[in-house]
Amino acid sequence: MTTKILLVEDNDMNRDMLSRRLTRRGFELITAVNGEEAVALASSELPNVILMDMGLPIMDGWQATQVIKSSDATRHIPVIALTAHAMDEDRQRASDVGCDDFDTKPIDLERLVSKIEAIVS
Amino acid sequence: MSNDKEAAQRIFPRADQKKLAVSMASLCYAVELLPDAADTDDSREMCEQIAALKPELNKLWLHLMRPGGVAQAEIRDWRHDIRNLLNGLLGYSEIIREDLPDKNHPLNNQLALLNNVAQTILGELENAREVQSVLDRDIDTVVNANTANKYRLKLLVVDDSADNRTLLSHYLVRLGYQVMTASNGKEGLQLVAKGGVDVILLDLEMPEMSGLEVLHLIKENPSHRDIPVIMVSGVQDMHEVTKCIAAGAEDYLFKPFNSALLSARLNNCIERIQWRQRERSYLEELERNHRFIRQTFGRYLSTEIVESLIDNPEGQTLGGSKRKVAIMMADIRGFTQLSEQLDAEKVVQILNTYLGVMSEIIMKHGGTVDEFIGDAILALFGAPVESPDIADASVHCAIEMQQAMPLVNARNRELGLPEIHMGIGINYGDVVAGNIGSEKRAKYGVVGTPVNMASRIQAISQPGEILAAEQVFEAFEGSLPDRGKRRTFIPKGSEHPLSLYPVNFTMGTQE
Repeated sequence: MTTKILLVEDNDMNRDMLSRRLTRRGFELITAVNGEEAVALASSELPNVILMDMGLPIMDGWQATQVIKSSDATRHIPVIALTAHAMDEDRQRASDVGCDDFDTKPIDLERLVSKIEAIVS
Repeated sequence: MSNDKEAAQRIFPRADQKKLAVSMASLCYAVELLPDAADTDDSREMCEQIAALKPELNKLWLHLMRPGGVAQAEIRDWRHDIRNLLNGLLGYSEIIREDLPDKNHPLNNQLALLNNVAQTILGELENAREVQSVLDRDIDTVVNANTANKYRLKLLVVDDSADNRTLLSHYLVRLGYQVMTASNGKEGLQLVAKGGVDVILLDLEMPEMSGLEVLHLIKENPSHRDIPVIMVSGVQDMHEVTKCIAAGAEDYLFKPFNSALLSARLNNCIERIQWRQRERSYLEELERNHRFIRQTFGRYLSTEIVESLIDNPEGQTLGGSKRKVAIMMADIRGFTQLSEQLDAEKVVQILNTYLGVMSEIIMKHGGTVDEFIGDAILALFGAPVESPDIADASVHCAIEMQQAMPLVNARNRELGLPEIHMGIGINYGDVVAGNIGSEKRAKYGVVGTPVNMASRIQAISQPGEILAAEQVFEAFEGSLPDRGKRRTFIPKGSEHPLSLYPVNFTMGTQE
């Protein structure tokens, strides 16, 4: 079975780029552009993993992760935080809200794919 | 002083900021040139996605270049934005690379450069730290020096009232400035046109030509646009002043003058002048980078050079190998004089036509345009790609170049430009060919006495003539071309006379 990824990213270009690259690697992709959409898609689509940008409009990635992690239906879905902030405080904060892993932009695809594979297996 | 505060908040040390700014600017250019190299619809789409990042990149660059730079409070967002941008850029460039049919594709080279620059920027980002920039201290020094009468800025006061001119001049001289005055707009514009004016104090209400009109004329002129103009008004007419600011005035003052305010506003202007000078030097550095990129990508160099550089990674290293080449120098006669008489745009038109036609002929004959030095072309036969009949090729090429001159001149005439004539010198001998220069700025080229001799031979050739050294004919593989009487010539700095022959040819077109 192919791994279904929910990619949450508000930047059109980065969303398009990353979904193309992951699709090429054989993953199934669904995308959301804000935290609210992410929460809705997480429970309706039940993806195998969520890649969550943190600076999102309407509901940010921190809040969205908290909501996903507080619901029984979606709690089990691993969330990998993706941020363009490389600071340790962001890493800590991601872990505090319940993210299972953390990666920084610019994305190193090999590194990200190995994180995804490690987390879904 | 708020200046100190701002400086203390600057986030990048000067050298790092400069490196970062230059890398970002290089990236802007590299990004813009990218779609030119795409040859499939898919790769073009992706290249255009990358090229679309330019405005955002430019915005971040401009922020970095602002007088205050990126402040402590802004660095988090600034860094976030640039990382986000590089994320898209690197991701798309990986997609394009995955799709390239082979590693020798020109796009691969360009993307590799893009990636290098992006990695440099990411590295530089980590250098952000809180230090007082040396650059800011420089500015403070200049501003302080100015108040200590050391930095003599030239101010132009344009005012129709003699009393006001006297009063203002008096103030300004006391502050340490040099002052010129004009009693009306026309006179003021004449003084500006003469050059050397650093700041203009312009009266708003003047008979005949108003201050606003004068301002418009100054700002319309590209060479005067950057001179800061401070409007001076006797009636406190905010409406008019607003119009002036909209039209490009730097600042305004109401009469009667307050000398402290006047001095503060002038200091402000000086900072801006300093800033513009700094910006100009950045832009010059950019221009150099731009040229470097273009050369790397072979807009002017032949594809052979670029390919040989890609094929042999060791070719990227400095140094080179000794080999026999034919060297051709071609030069437009009287070009310096011509360029002094014509305006820059026309000179560029003439050069573009000429260099365009000539490079095509040189490449057709297997030669490589190694360098354009102003109006002169240095072409090589036998480097970087070895071939058996390089002497023959160089002479046949020179003949065709001379035969193409009527075409070049016909185009010049169409554009109302003067006719030009070319002299060509050819030499043959051992040179060292390879990447020469510093590691940062290496370029393919040749060095050796034969190269210098080629230039000397060219210098004594007549307009419309081809002059070749005896060695060229000795190296001929095929039948010798028709040549004229032997001339001997002792080049400067050499004891050995050189034997030269003019090559005879008809002006009828080949083909």
